[in-house]
Amino acid sequence: MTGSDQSHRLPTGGAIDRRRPLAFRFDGREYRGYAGDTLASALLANGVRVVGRSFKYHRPRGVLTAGPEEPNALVELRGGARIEPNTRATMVELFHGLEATSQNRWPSLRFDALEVNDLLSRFLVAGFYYKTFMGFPGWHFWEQRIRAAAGMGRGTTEPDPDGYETMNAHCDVLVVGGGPAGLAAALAAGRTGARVMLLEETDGLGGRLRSDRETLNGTPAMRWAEAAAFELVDLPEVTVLTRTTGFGIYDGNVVGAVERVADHLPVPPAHMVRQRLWHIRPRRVIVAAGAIERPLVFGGNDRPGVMQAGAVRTYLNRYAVAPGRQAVVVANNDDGYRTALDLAAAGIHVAQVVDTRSAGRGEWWRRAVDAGLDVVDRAAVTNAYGRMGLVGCDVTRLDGNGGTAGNGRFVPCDLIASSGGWTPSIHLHSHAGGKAEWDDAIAAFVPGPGRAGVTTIGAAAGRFALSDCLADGFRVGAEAARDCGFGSGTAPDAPVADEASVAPLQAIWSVPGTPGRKVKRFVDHQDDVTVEDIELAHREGFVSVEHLKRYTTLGMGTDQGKTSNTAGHALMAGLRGRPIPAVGTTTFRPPYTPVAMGAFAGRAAGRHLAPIRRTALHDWHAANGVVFVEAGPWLRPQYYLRPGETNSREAMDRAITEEVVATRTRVGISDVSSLGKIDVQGPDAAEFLNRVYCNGFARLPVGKARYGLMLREDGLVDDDGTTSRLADTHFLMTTTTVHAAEVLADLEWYLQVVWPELDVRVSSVTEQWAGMALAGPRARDVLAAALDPGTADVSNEALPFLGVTTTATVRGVPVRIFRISFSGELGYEVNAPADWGIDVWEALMHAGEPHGIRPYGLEAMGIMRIEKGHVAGAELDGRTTPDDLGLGRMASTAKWYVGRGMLGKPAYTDPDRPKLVGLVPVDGRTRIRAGAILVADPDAPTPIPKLGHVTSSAYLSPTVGHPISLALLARGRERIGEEVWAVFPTRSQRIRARVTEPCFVDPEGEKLHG
Amino acid sequence: MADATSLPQAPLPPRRSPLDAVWVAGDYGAAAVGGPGVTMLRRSGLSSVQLDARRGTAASLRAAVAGALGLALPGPGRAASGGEVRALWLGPDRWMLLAEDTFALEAKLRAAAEPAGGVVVDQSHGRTILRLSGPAVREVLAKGTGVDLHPRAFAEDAVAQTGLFHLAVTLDRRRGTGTFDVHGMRGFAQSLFESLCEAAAEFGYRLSE
Repeated sequence: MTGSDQSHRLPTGGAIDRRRPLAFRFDGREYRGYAGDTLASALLANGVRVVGRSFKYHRPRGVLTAGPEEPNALVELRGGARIEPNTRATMVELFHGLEATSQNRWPSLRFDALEVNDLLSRFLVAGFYYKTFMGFPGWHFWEQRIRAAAGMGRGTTEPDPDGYETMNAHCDVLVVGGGPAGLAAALAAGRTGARVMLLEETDGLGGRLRSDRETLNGTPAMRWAEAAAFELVDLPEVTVLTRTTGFGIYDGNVVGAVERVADHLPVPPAHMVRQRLWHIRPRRVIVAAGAIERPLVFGGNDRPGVMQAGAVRTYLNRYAVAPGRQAVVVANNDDGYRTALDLAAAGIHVAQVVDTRSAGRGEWWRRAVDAGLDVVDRAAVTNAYGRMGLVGCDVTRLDGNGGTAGNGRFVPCDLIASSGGWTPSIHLHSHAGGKAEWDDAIAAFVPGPGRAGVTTIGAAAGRFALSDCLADGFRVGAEAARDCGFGSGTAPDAPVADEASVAPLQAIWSVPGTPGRKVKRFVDHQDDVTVEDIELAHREGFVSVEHLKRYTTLGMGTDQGKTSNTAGHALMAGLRGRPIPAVGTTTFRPPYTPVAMGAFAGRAAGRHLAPIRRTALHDWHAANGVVFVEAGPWLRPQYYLRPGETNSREAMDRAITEEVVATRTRVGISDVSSLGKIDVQGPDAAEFLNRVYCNGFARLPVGKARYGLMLREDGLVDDDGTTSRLADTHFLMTTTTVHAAEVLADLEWYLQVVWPELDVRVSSVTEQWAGMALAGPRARDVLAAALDPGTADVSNEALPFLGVTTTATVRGVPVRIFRISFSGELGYEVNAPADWGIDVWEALMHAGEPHGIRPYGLEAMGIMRIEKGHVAGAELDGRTTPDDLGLGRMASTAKWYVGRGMLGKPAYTDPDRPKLVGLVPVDGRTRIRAGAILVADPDAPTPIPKLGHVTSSAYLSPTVGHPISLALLARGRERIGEEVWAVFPTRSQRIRARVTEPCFVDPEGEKLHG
Repeated sequence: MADATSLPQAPLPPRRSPLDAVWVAGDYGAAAVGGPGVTMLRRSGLSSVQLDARRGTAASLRAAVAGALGLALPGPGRAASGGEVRALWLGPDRWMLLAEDTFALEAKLRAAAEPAGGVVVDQSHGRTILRLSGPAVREVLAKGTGVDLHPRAFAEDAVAQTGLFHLAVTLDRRRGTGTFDVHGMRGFAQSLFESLCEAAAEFGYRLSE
């Protein structure tokens, strides 16, 4: 543990830029690395051995891998609002000023109070927490303590300061993975002119070629990869995305990918997102995702300094880092020899090469022996020592029957490079529904039959040799392009790999412990699952791989068992005495590696959470003291403050009251542009509307409007609105704001599917027209004054209630005028083409000035319609019949229409059904909340029979001088004059209320017709 | 009842745009070498008139429109220009026709198309049309729509009705490299505009007068 100043940096080599040193901090201490380092390689270069504590036992852990599968080196990256927990140090590109903190330790990495869990481990077996605490009262209390102890790093509650976005892409051939197989595939496809995308998870192309010393035709294979990268850049229809993980395949072979645009920078520069989520729709997918090395399972295999053999080569060759000074290499395959030779070539002392096989003496063995390495076979590392960093291990002969032969020999070392073979990354194949097949030769699952259009090649298909990877890539790339109509499908010639033959791997899923020593053998490092945990699960009957996973948490960490699942499942198969393929493997699901939620949210956050819909009069409201309220996507005026007034409860109450009073006594104007407007034209338009509405429309005269009620097919009320006949074959329908799109879709469906014989076309014209409701005793005076002289007569005689005129203009703007009212006052709805909406609104305001006109918002509108007993959304709740709402007489008996067939259902004619009534508090002042439950006796024994509920409330009706409500009450019409209780249990409210007629103002409608 | 639209009585005020409050001409976003990646232009002062063929009248309507406007109504997924009018296919037996306001498109269509079975609906004020051009225009649009905009898939005069940043739009690929007209609903114009600006910021963008 020599500490700082890159004590473990090799003097030469590596793909780092030694001219660009970078300072960074880990756990508060400053270190230096080079551009091209990862956080893991830079920590190793500085001799940092312990980088985290394990999940359950809090054992000190070091870097295990050099890739996305890392289970140990999880750190909190950055700080403040940008803090990112559980970041894999092996995937973090070093940048100047990087700050990282170890996690899951308290108070410090060197001393962790919860390391006591390691000593208590014989009690903390799989399922311990549930077995122990679930029976206790207060499980949730213990659950929180346990979760805190298992700390997964800290997040932040601050808003993310960085941006994310989504990108859509299409291509002929998508290649996932930029190693030799993927490069070859992209080249072969790209040269044909096909549109090709290549995704590479790391910062550069080459894959394992960046980590190994292989050659092609006698030159370093990495030269070939560099040339391939250059060629791809020059192909105009090829897109190469580095720092991009293809994390999932979805329906239709849509591939999800996340591009880490700015994760390698301290802070994203202006206008640059941090991450970008790609939705890629390729015609062919080639998965060249490579393979992941498995650690051998032996005693102490989690000690800091035990590392995967392939990772050791990566640190040596790519980063010029010596992960140790004195190495032991142990493997069940030729990777051990390859690694030992690389270590020796880098000048690191290889104390012992251990081969667990009895038949591993092939070409690689020969090379190792020729290089003078001390090789022992049919032996294994049986225990490793060194709590805060490896100090040595026992090497013991194996008896060939799962046991040891003789005593262990202690070998001092600070690095163990271990390889248990490689597991193909078949995740994407599996996402696409592909099967996994067991391959004995490599002791791993390989892709079996899969979905059309998805082909897995190279190491991801279990073909590890460089020559196989290149051959696969060139062949499958050319074929995929041909399938898309490009090229002949003939594979280009592949360069010749200079390869030694490989001696077969010999599976060994766990190594026995050193005789006489108690050992902990970790299968899953991230979740602290040991061989003993798997044995326990087997004894307790959790023998299927899915139960094993949930019982022991095997493979449930953020690494999703990338290094551990194969061994864990194989051990269970051994315990059950069944072949591995019969025991199977768990199902892979996206994402392949963790993806930040921000990337999925993209720009749909903050003010872009949902689009905002503004009326044509929006800018006028905004300049005139409006307080907006959201109504679905719409922003609508809620009420208007006085100039310079600050919003408050009092200001709101006063504004609303003034708006109601002005409209009831003088004149008011409101923005009704959001109401749905549907243009209905065609020779059968009248017949169509007559079938859609429950009341008659066939004989509506031209130039007249009528209130219409629309039912669903089940007979319940769907929507209401006013529909006008503009010409013999031309109607304008209006709908409620919320149901506009749904009603249009229903109309299209009736026309296309139900009554195709009707010759009618319907179109939404909601956006074309700005709508203004002018209401109040002086409405006619204001309207007449605003019209361009001589364009229309709006006298009561020329334009009576429900009259329509389309000849008028205001300031030259053609308008449609409908004499209709929602407030119960003399009212007109004026529609103007939207781009002139403000001009017409201003003309009306100007004409209304002498009459004291006031704009009014939704609150005042709501109060006035409750005063009139008009139903709206709260009453049209999808559970009410026309009769429930007091509109039963509208339902025609002289014709058929949608929903009529169901109206006679006994449930709909039940006299006990709730009916629309009015409700006033007996004390004349207590406000009754909408949603309150109506009961006869709130003190009756529970369950208290419910008589109905309050649908809408006006906390103060300025017109009648006290609060009023509308309610649906069982046998309501018979109860008028009686008293009921309105209770609101969650607010502990109970209010005595008198049942009234639902109309509180001008029940005869004199104002309307005046 | 005659619609007053065809009988203006006084000079009309200028048409307002829903983007009046937010559109300030100038260059925004990253400073890009060689000019902005995207240039946005409001196509104001256009008439957009929807034309439907009633049941069984498509053939006669095509003939009537060809005779009156010199324009062949396009087929699915396509646009066509003829004289001063551009037509976009919107759906079975439905088109959107566009011309400068001065052309009096609605009146001409009513006269020519209604006798041939056409249903004419003025949508001029209900749509906001933005013209996007520049080297980054495809990338900017691809951030918000799943439509393949590559010239091999979406050539000149291609039209799509689709979602753009979760908003309903009509995309019209114009002639010339990388020029698209985006027709959006008026009420959502500002949301669409803001989304386009944010998507274009990394390339630099210009708002034209």
